[in-house]
Amino acid sequence: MRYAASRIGQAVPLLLLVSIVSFAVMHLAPGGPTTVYAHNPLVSGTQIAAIRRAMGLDDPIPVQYVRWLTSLLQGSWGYSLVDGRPVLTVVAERVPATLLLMTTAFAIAIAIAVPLGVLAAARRGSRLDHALTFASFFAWAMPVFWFGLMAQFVLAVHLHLFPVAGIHATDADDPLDLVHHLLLPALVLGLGSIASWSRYLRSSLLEVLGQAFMTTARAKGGSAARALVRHGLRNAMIPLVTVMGLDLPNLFTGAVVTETVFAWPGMGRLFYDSLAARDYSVEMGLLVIAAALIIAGNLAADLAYGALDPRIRLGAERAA
Amino acid sequence: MISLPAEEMAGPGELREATARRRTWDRFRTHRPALVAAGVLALLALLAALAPWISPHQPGAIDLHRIAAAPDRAHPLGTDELGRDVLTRLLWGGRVSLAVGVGAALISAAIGIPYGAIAGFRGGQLDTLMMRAVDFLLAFPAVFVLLILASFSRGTVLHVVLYLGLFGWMGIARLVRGQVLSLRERDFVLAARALGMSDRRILVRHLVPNAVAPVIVAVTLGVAGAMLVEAALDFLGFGVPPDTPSWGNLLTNAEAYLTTAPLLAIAPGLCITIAVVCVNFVGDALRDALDPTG
Repeated sequence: MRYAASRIGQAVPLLLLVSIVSFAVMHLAPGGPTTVYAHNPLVSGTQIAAIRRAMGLDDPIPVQYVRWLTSLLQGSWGYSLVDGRPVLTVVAERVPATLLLMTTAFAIAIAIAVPLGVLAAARRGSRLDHALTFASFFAWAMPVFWFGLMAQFVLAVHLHLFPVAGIHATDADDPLDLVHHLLLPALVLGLGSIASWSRYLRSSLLEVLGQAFMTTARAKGGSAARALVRHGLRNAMIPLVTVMGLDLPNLFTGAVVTETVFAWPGMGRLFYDSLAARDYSVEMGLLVIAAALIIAGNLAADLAYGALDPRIRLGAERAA
Repeated sequence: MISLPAEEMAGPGELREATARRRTWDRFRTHRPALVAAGVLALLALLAALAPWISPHQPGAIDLHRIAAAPDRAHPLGTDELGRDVLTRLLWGGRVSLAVGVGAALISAAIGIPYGAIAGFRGGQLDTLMMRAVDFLLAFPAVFVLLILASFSRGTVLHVVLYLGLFGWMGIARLVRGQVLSLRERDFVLAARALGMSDRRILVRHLVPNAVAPVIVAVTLGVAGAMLVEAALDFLGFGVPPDTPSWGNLLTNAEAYLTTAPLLAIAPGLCITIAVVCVNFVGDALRDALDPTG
């Protein structure tokens, strides 16, 4: 419990730092938030000055930061420069779609990577093992968006197995339709993780297989497969959990391009749109929420690590 | 301070270095896929370097009679949506994409190696602080920041290289720090100190060279990573300027022609995939070849 508390305690200053950096990055913008209006012949200089005053852009930077932080804590997160709605509302609309896409990709990746990793480790050096190694190199090397395009081309355009893009058909609202639209982008997003996790599991399994308790497990008379799954896999999964946590930023990267390719109405797509529209307040909000989700993911991985391996939990408590 | 004449030291040292290099090369050679990969990479680099002389057309030349056309004698890989020769743009695109990958990885190394070396060597609070900063940067959604920075400055290829380098050094810094941390307690460092060497000299002459093997691997793999991110930035329209032929840019508009001219999307993606696979194979073989315990 104390371990969990100390890990959570570390996340708070990190989040504060994230907010400062996000704010600083956005204030590097040439021209600031009113650039959109500068190109509009219908908006005069005095009007821009009025907008600047109304938005408080003439105040000292620290004052602006504190005001923004207050709005973050109070829950409005500033207002979109495009439609004037609170940023939190705009972002919150998109969070479920992205979380759905990411968790599905995550689930698919685990469901495929774990059996592949076990198979490769069990048949080490076999033709299958070599084929999987080779395939994972290619899966890694493919740009996510290009794999998405190719998947669209082959599976959706030619074979009509999946819809090309979008989150559901215009007239349908049933969950099956959603799943149908979800599978292809989730698979595309998860491909890199399948490759890296199955490789990682393979090598960590091979390491575990050489240890004495595995010999004991086999000496107890159960089948080799049983020993592998019950004793080997359990121990080999521990380091994999950390890798999964560290993979979260990649998943975000992937989400931006995957959502763009598949017109998936999530945060990545919103980010892309707000970049095009120079909607700084939405960009800032997304930056903060993405960083917060990554920090939360790493935290979850840390906690899972502690739960799986008592030595880590106890070690940290003793050190504290 | 005792100083040994350089000539006397050079002989055996050079010899040892030569055998080590020899052994590394021997081990690398046995890695069949990596040899093939190195060959393919050399070929890609050569084709890219020779692009101005071997490409059949000018990269910006427009053939108004052939818009997004299928391959024919004049255009072996067809034309794009503006009637430009795809093969020509692929060759020229290789220049940009390969150079961006290598350039970004070198910048990452230039930042990451000294950063990690100083953190590992100094240790203590400075180390904690520096590594916390690395943790923090790693927790940041790099692509979001990259996209924002790129959207501020619709800049040049150089901008993209710089941004990718500035956001790619953290892994290398961690690696070098770990290496230096374990090396600095060794006897040869103590010996160097006893000879009166300054910290800086110990770091530059003894620690960094000894930590170099895994760094070479990491930088090699970094080239592949940078190429992939560059391609994604280009595809989203925030990478190198849109009229510059890069493999990523060639894919930007390809989506719209997926049904009529699929080659537009297939060819550049294959180039990226092949280049990245080859770089990764070479990096992997280097890891095995440079590993002194292997």
